[in-house]
Amino acid sequence: MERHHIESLVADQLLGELSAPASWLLERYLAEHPEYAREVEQVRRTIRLAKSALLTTQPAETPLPPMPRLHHRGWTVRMRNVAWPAACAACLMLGWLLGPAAPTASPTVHQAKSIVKREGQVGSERPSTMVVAGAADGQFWSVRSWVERSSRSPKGAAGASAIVWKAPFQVASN
Amino acid sequence: MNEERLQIETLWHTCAVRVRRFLRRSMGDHETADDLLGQTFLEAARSWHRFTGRGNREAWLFGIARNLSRRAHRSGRLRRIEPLTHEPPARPETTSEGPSDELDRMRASIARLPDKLRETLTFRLADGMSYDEIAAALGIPVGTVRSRLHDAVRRLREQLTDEEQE
Repeated sequence: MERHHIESLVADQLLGELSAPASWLLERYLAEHPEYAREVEQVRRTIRLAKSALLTTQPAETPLPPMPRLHHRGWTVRMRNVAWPAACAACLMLGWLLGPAAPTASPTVHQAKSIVKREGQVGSERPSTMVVAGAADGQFWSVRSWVERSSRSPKGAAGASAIVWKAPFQVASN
Repeated sequence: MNEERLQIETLWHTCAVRVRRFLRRSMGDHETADDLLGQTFLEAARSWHRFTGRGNREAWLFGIARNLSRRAHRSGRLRRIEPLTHEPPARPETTSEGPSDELDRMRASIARLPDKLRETLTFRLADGMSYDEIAAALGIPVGTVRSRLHDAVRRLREQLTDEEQE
């Protein structure tokens, strides 16, 4: 065993961190190897002195201050858990109550969600009233301009065209 | 909740004195140490359920106290005092362990140790904490605690031997 291993083991032993069997083995080894006696004694003395030096430097004890008042953690957590949903619910309720009273914007943007399609025509499946730029009345993608364009076409003029409101999905049937 | 409060109170009664001693050594200022002691227990109560179970509650509490004292030092509000060199010993006369000048030399040697080594050595020798408890308090592996202590003892022994040879 090397010298520094011996020192480490002796230090562990003196610091009370060596198991009983390991401590017994170390003692036997040291008894058989007296050449380590000087180092071992130095380590023992160092630890004794260090402990004594540290303990005598302890500040004088005075009475403890009173224990601080602890916050009621459970209560605060419970309040925090309740406060956020309650605040959200209050906001929603406020919006629901004040919503009808708020001034509405001019109905330039239509909110229909169906797909307008000319009967028999395939391909023009653009939703007529998607909220897109330039969707105001009279512009290209508005319902009014689309209806006007349709009525101007030869087929529309003959009265054969119709607006089909088609659901965006279909139910499959056997 | 009552059980938690009871546990905190028990912890206060069992180790508040040791934690305050550690804080006094660390801060040098007794009043600040007492303030930090209160903060330590408040912080412990606040994060009671965050205890991971490594080490025991006392070591965990020491860890909180150590973090608070380091934060206080870092904030610059407090001056760093080396208690081992500046604070007068409680028993300056000879003790059973040896003459006073020998102890003074040892105190000076300990004060010269790097912070990490001195902190670990103090936890072990002055506070009587086990390797596992020190590891939990400092948030380091047990092997690191062991190597720091070995290193500290080796340095102290070398200094002691050198001084005796001179």
